[in-house]
Amino acid sequence: MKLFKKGLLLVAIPGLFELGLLGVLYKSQENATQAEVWALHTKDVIIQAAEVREPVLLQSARLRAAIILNDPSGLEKKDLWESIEKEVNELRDFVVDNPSQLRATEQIRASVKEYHTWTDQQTELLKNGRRDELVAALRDPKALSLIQVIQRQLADFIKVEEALDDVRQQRVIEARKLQNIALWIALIGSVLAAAIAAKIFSKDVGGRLAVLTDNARQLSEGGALASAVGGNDEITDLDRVLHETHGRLKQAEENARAYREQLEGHARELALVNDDLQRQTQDNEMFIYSVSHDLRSPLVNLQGFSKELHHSIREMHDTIAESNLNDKDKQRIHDLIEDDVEVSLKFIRTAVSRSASIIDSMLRLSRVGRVEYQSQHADVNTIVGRVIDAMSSTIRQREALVLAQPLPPCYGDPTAIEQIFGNLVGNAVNYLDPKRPGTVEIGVLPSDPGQPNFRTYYVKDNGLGIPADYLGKMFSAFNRLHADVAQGEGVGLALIKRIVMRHGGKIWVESTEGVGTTFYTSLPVTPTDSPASQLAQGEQTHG
Amino acid sequence: MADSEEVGILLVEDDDGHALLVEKNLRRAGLSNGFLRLKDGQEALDYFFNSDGAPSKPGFDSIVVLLDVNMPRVSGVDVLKRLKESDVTANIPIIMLTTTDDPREIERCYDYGCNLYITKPVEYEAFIEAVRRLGFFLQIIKVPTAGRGGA
Repeated sequence: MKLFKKGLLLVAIPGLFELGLLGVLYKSQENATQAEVWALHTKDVIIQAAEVREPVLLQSARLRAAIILNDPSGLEKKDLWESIEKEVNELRDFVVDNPSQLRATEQIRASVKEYHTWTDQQTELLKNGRRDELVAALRDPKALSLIQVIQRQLADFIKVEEALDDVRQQRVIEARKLQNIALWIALIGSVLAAAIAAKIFSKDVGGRLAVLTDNARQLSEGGALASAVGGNDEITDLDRVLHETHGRLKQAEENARAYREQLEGHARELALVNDDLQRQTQDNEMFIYSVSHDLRSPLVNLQGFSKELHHSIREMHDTIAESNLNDKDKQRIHDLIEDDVEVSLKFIRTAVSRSASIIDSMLRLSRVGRVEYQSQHADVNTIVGRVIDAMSSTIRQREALVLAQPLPPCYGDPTAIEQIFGNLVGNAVNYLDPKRPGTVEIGVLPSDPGQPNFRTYYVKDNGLGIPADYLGKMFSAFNRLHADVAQGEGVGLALIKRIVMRHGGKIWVESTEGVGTTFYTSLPVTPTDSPASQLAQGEQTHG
Repeated sequence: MADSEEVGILLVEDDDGHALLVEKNLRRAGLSNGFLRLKDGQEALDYFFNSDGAPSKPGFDSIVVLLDVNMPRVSGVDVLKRLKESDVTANIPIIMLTTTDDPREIERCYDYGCNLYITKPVEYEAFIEAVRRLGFFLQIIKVPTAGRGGA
């Protein structure tokens, strides 16, 4: 049942009750009116009875007057008799529904008729002058009694009617009393019915609404819902919706949990892969280290013995000069040694030097990943000052201006940080444009609120700049852009990138060819727990 | 070859080329000390100790050991350890020669008691310089040895 219907019932039940009581009230009202009508009717009957008596008494008086005056002429008139007849008829009409009173009326009529007959006899006597006889007859108690009979009958009639009137009056009072009672019952009953209906309605709807509210609260707090409320109205619908929502929410939570678990699984896998990668990187560095190391040994021989050959050649020159060969042969041997052997040896030595240099770079590179850092709060001002001092002769030679802004400290290994700035400042000075006065500026960016634990330093120059195509390869090992400008194997940036990463920081470059280059490096301000910096703990010593 | 009057040089080196280069350059630098070359750590241990582990001689005066670190069988570091463990051999000056310049290994060798650690340079000039330093070192330690011998 819908709430509207319930509300309608709430109004209709007391309404019906009131309607019933209104009927009762109407009925009692009707009864009272009826009773009043009957009471009035009785009064009319009593009055009519009196109407009957009046002409009878008048006729009696007329008779007496005629007798006294001895004039029968007045008695000739029939009007009073007709009047009596009319009044009796009217009386009969009034009491036609009451058999006993009807009988009494007929008796009255009979008595009146008897009195009429007697009066006619008296009239005859008077006409005939038999007045004495008449007087005598008048004295006859019987004559008097006729009037008295009529009188008595009328009195009785009235008495009966008065009794009836009393009864009917009583009925009217009772009807009125009943009417009042009905009115009160209607009033109290309707109020009670309304109260009971409201009570039932509020108990039903209110109780279920309370359950509904509780369910809604549980839903918002994520608790368990009470079982479904009964009925089939809007509250039930709403409750069903709440239950469905609860079910969906549970499902969503379940899904979220599953996703989270999946995510955690992925994270674990990722961590494993990461560990594996780190181990592999370590292995690679170890491999590079041992290969480089093992390569060094034969290089020592190559370089050493080529030098030995160089010594031997000098001795050979001396020996040939002192020999007794002719000058032409001497010259030929000399040319052979100088042009072929010496040139070949020179190439060998150059190649060995280059190989040795590459191996050294590889060793340094691999060592960066393995060396143990002594991290501390490092005074970058001092470090950069030291870097600039160490390069002072190169700076003078290039006629460059190197400016260091005040630099806040960072947290890291001072030697490693010196390597970073040494490399960056060294590059900046080495790759200045000879065509214009060189300037190198070392500074720090305003701290980034998103990265409060890091500080970004920069080394900015107005040097040769880097072509856009080359920017992506800047930090790869053994890549050299300006091979003719400065010496090196092209591992410097790869090296310091590794150092910066092991500190948990970042390094990047912005450059415009022909305008200048700015290297940025972010370094931690406080100790970080980055996996890269833990790498050193797994380091092994190569024997 | 080793003469009790002169400092004998004992080179323990598995690489023939390295051994020859070291010997040649020592001689070229004017060091005419008695020179003996052993091929690996085991030979070195056999030279200093009997089969039962006791020192083969009551004393090893006037001897300097040049030890390569990376060798088959017994490494230079193991030889260093053994020599420094025994009272008889503990005073022998030992110079480690290696291609490694790993600071950890250098530190380890100094911890075990080596007297000098020289990285074998690939650059010939630098190598000669290292050998000269080695010779200078030997010249210095020769004086107290001789002084002790005279006492």
